[in-house]
Amino acid sequence: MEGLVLVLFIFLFGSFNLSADLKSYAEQSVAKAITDPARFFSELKMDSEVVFPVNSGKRYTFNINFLPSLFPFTYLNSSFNYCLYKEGRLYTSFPQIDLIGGAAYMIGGDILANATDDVNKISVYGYHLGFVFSDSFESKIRIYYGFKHSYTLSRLKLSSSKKHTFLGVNITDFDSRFSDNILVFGVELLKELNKYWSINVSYGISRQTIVYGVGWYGKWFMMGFNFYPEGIIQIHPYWGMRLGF
Amino acid sequence: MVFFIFVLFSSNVFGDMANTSTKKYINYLDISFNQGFRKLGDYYSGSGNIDSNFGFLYTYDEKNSFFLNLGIYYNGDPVDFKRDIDERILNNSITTEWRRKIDKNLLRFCVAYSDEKIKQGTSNSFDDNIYNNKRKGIGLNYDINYEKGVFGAGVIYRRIEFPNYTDLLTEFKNQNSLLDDSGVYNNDLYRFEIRWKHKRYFFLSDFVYQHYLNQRVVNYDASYGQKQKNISYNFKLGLERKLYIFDFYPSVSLSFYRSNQNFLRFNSITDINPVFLKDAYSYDEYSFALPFSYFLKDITINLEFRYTYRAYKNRNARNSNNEYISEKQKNKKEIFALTISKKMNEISEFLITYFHHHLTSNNKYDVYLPLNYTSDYIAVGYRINY
Repeated sequence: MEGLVLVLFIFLFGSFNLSADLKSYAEQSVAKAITDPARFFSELKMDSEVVFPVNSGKRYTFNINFLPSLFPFTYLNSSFNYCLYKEGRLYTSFPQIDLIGGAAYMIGGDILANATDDVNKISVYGYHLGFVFSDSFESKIRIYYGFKHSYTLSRLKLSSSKKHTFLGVNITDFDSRFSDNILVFGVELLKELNKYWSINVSYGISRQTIVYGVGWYGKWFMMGFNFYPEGIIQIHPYWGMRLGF
Repeated sequence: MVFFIFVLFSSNVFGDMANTSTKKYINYLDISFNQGFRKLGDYYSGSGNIDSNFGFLYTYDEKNSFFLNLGIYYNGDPVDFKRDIDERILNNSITTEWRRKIDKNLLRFCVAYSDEKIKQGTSNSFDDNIYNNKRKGIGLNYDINYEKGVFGAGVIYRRIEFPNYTDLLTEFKNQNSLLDDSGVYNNDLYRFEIRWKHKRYFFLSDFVYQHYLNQRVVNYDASYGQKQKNISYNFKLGLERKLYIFDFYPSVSLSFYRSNQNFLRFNSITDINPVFLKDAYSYDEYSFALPFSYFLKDITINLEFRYTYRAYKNRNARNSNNEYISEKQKNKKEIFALTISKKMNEISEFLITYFHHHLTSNNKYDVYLPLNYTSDYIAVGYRINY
């Protein structure tokens, strides 16, 4: 437990630029988000893109990310990992093949547009599609590797009647898309019955998305940390549901 | 397409189709990452690093094997930066190697490709930095194993291309005309290396020759002369031994770098009397390292002290007003590193890392690259090796 507290402490400190005071840090972050809003919203969505391989003995997993995708980022999200081919069915060493996919829609945009006259419309949504191979080594360890295409669209239409600023940064309309073709590879360890531990790295070939993460998952839930070293929020602790059938 | 081929080959399908016990594939994965923060002077920043390798080894028969590796490396706000304190470096590489056993010896032939992208700070893009480069080339190595050690020799060739590089001096002189700078910094690199490990001693030496295809040295009158050439000779001698409860691996290194490139110092954009420095980049460098390791059950403690001294052959130091003084430039670097790793399970370790850097130089004009600073870095991370 002490180790976890230490990890959290250092990671959270490490995720901020401490040279700036909080206001200027916030201003820089807002400016960065405005420069490439779709990338910013894509980073917020990416925790819901589950790449863990389907468990041995299961046909598919159904996943929902509660923290941080649903709360506080207000993404209604779900993803589905379907095992197309079980390892060793035809050839003893042919890897398991999973198809992965999911979608997310930011409902907070609609709430904000209805709650204020400044915003006419906000639309943020996206999807991901891909495949994951997984190879067993010994009885408890699997290496997995794959590919996913991630897409996010973000639109903001502001009321034209006045100038809009947020933390000193001018906000204007935007309509942008972010898509990246991402390589994924990682390792999964079965610690005990229905308790898994995993580390993975994702790298975007097209837009240089960089994510690395450590996760724990069991029969019902998954949790862990994703790190976005190029992101506005560099550390994303996450918690969600992951059901296998 | 490359990824598809990689996945196809990294899966074990052909192992079964071959149906012989001598043909087999072994996948491997090696990932380490850490996240922490760096203090440089009064400046703090978040910092992250990834080193990841994924690949496979295919053993064709007793003598021949094939190896393929995909590497992804990221270094954000590095502790030991090359050009800028806020630089972020992203490097991807694909390496293939054919290995053939000849008696007890090993012949290795490799083909390599890497793509390095750099950016300054978090806001810029990785796509447009002038030092972004792609490297492609081949290498040949031969290792001779004998009873008390191993002796190896090798040669590599790399074509290094800088697609975004621009020549600032030429652009300054031709402000109203369109220039084609493409390929001006491209170069060919040749490296010859010998490696020798005998009992507890090891010795490494290499000779590196870098030939620029288009880049020329600048003359005193801002014209261009012959093509740039860089040469370096590097030597490292060390030993491995047990010292009380520690494993101890001290080493000393010498490096002699020679370049025919000169330097023209403009004090401002309107400076009509720039200072000319001939042979401005050549230096001699001496360093030693004192690493210790201590193993306690599933905890490993690594301690290291490194000292590096660099003396430029012809470059005079500058004071804080950008004026040259009579002394030649000398840089000193002291590094203290502490890493504590704890084995978490069969394949992973949890790491706590601390670095302390102290740099001093008699060159006090370090506007572009800090030469006088103290930096501390603390991070936590994971390492897996399977």
